[in-house]
Amino acid sequence: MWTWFHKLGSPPWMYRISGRILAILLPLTVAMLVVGAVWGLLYAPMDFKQGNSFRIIYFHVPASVVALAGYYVMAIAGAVSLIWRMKMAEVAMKCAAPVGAALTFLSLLSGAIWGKPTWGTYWVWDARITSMLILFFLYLGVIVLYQAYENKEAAGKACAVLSLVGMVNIPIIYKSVDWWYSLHQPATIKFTEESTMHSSMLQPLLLMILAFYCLFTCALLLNMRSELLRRGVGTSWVRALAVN
Amino acid sequence: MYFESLQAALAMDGHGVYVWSVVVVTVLVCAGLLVLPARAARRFIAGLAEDDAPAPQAAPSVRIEEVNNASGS
Repeated sequence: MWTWFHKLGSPPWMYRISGRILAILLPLTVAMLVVGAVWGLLYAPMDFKQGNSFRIIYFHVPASVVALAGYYVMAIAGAVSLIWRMKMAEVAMKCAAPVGAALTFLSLLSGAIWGKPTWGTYWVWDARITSMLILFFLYLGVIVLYQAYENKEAAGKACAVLSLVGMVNIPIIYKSVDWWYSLHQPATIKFTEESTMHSSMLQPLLLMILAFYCLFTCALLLNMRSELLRRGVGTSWVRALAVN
Repeated sequence: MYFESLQAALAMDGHGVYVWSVVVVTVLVCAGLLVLPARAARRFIAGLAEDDAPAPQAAPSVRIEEVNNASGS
């Protein structure tokens, strides 16, 4: 087990193994996204209250769920890089930030577009929406903070601290619809209770959530490969890639 | 299919503009997430390969005709 853990810290091993994972996961992700989107858009029944605008759920909810999960990935990677000084964890933290920011942006924008036919407005300073906007700024903060430092070791530490401090926002986002009066509807998928959605609507949603988790993994690995190459300039394994 | 025709699927009872605009944004974001880092890595490797390629041989500073003329005179 520990051999595997040590290998995880080796850039050439990580580059090689991520290439193998992507060769399988990338086509699978694209297939799941296409099937899930077509299923949700064209085959799932219409919601009796919201009409067809409800179909935005197949993009909004997966983007939101994975944007939150992505923050956990970034913060845990930041903690590992702080505690064990593991460079690969720092790479993962740095590379998770733009992916999480893009998914949070998608969540906010799709939510705003969904708000117009449902609530009659694109934006309200609602607890859920505002805490999601803070999440977006936290992701942007990590990206900008890393760029701001000349010393990349100090940049890694500062970003790890910021991502750990920002963790306090995640339970607030989850519980915001319960703690405050909100225009935003409560969670439709619950672990402790039965879902409020019919299975014909729920199945494509679950597929899209899985597809977005895979999308996050693919985008993270692709970003990490690019970053590993940049950091490995002059090393024998990067030179060998250029020769081949 | 839930809709009776392609037009009905595009219109979605007046909600089509909202739903399809979200689809377009999602496609752009997903494509950007997957294509941009892959292209950056490919360009980086191509740049390294160019740097590692042997430099073309320098052209002779004196032309052959000039050498022949010089030796003949």
